[in-house]
Amino acid sequence: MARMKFLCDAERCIHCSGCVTACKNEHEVPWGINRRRVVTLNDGKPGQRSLSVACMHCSDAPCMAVCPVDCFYQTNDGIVLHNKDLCIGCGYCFYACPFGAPQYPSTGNFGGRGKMDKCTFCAGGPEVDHSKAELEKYGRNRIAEGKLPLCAEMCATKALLAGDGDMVSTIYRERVMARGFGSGAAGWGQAYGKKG
Amino acid sequence: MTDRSDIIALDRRAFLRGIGLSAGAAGAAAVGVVATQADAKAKAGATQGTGYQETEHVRRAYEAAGF
Repeated sequence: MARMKFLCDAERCIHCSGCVTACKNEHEVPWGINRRRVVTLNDGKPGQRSLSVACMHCSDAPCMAVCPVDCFYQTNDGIVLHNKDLCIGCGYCFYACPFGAPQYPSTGNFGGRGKMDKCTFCAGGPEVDHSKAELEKYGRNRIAEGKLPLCAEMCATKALLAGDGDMVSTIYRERVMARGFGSGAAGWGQAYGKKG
Repeated sequence: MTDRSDIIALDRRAFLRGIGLSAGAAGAAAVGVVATQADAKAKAGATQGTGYQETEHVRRAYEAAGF
């Protein structure tokens, strides 16, 4: 059984935010919500890296563990989805998530946030596949169309990988073997005729 | 003059007047039933749909990512 995973190759990500734009456009995500975003580590220092981050569809998801109304579920492919009809917008999942994936559409009186929204791995939600309700609440269902998440498919440098975890790890392993690692990843090995 | 917000406020008062303790308990039970039904629907949703398939499109995406 395939298990869906994201992996961002920090050596390749150029912080173009194409993944963010693709996601917002594909799912018609409202203003103020970014299901995916690019973060920079060691900004302005040697070793600066950019990483595209969204819901990582954890195997043992903390959002699922803390949700008081049990609105989360995991598909057979390991994709963590939630039911917006059950969500009460309490924000527990936001506090529990180490990636800051859960997003809320509004702020209002008494801290009202609205229904939680997050990356669905382009797999829609509990509504019928390709239905209008699914599109409005969760966005497009590309997995049911036999496709992969658009953020990864559109990534210009193919830094962002998505799909079957075994396949993703195989692609990444081959990359690391080909380019070396550490200083070798920056072309050191090629320049001086050695790997690593 | 009565505007729309006044009507809504009056309706809410009437509703609150109408429910007593016993009705409140019945309401809570009803909410519980609705929640259970919705929960069952969510659980059922977990198994619906075709899910991931390694289609030609997906294989080409993997090939493109492997460069």
